[in-house]
Amino acid sequence: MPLFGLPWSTFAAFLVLAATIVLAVVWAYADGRRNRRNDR
Amino acid sequence: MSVYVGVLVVYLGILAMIGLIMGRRGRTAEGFAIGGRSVGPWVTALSFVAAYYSSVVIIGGGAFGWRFGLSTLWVGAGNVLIGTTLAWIVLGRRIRRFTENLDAMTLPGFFFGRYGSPRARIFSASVTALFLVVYNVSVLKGMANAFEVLMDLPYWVGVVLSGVVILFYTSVGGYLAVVWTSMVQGVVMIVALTLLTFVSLQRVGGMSAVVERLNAIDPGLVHTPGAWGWAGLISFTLIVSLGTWGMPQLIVRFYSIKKDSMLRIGTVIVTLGASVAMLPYLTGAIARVLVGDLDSADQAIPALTRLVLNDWGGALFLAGVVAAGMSTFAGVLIIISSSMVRDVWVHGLGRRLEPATELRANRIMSLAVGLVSLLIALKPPALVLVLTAFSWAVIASTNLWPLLFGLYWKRTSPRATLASMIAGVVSALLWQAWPHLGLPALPPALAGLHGFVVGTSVALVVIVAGTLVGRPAPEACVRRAWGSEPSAEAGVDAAAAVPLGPRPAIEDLET
Repeated sequence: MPLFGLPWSTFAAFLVLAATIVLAVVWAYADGRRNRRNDR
Repeated sequence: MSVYVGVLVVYLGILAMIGLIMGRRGRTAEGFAIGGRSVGPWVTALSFVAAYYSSVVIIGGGAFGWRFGLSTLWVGAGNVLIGTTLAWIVLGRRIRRFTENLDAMTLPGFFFGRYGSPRARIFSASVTALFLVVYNVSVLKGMANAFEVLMDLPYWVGVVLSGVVILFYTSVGGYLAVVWTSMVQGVVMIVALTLLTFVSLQRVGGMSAVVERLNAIDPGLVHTPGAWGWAGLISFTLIVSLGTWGMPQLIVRFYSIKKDSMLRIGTVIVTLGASVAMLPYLTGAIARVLVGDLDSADQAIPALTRLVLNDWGGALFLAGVVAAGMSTFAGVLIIISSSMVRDVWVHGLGRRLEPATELRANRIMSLAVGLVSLLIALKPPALVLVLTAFSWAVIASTNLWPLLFGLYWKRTSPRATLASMIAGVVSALLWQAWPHLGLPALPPALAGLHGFVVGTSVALVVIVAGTLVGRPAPEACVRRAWGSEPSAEAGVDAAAAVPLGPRPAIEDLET
């Protein structure tokens, strides 16, 4: 059992939320870099 | 009670003031419909969250959490990943660029510019307007129910109070008033949901205690998929997550952002803001522990609010629920009025309007549509209540694939697009009506499928198959959308302003 005594099948919803936040940040960073490279 | 009244009066007063201030800025039809493409990332992102999560989601999400337990957290996670972050990444930039290239102010306007199909424009505008009115009735009803339960006000007072304030600021201030009030409402909603969650968790003794006590009631309330089952959980998550990709009141946020580079910071803000989607489901499950049995699952969140929050907290939460409803209602109102005026009246029926007249027509239309919704919501007929359950399914079945393929597949055929819209709507409606038509019963495995799954699946097959065998989109439309030729709709508008001017070639492109 992971945190709070939740089974993995339910706790994974929190992991998906965390992964989504990371995805948004990484995409924003990568997109900005790609744009700057294209501008040069 | 006086605390509730005080908080609400101040809150509604602020919203009305924003409407008045913004009314001075939106002086054109484009300003009224999409704020002149001048909205920053914070306002765009938070107003997206507010328009996405209506009062129905807060009260209804709590009800699902109460009934099915913690597995419903997956619905919230789906809302954030599919309904928000991926929608911004996949759709945001292309919609911003294409609608600017095509000079389109509405989703049906985009279909016309992208496919050169006036029929697709009229069909999409009509279906969307009709079912968004139905959707708005359910949103108004949700707000009035919150007033009823938390303030003991008669149902009709809740409908009139919230309806009149929204009509005022929407018709006076247009889109800018809607997004700015939505931003304020988004913040109120986020604070209110966070407050209720923390206080309730504290009351139970933390998350571990919630899990332990739910497990004691029924282990199915803790495990996934639990009592709901995979079919129910997955199809509901898809409806309320992927469905947003075809909802014009959300898509329009991408039209109006000032620069497409702002979508980057906007994506991060909207993801963080949308994370509150988990909270109604979590608090609904906590209500199962703290409140226990209820006559109706819809009472879970209001009952929990009364149990754990003091008057100030309760008033803030009511403001949050009302905020969620108002922002959705107002966003929908703008979409319907601009679609009816521009897509149906001006382009569909060929009535030419001067810019000032079009702005006035938009204001009158938003008032008229809002009043119709308000009157229906006062005593909703049974049919309307049935229709609200799948208004999302019908709207998404109409718009989802023509939008997505229009952005990514140059070849997509205009005829296949129109056929996909019609097939999607008909199959979604037919599927929902099946049990009432006296036809042979469907096998149990199929009967549980929602009209959304059926409508969007049929629409997908039709648009792909139709495009593979049919004529591709006109080259001129594709070049305009991808930005290698001047705007088509700009040409239409120019022709409209000069009565004897030549009609643009795109008018003849219907295949």
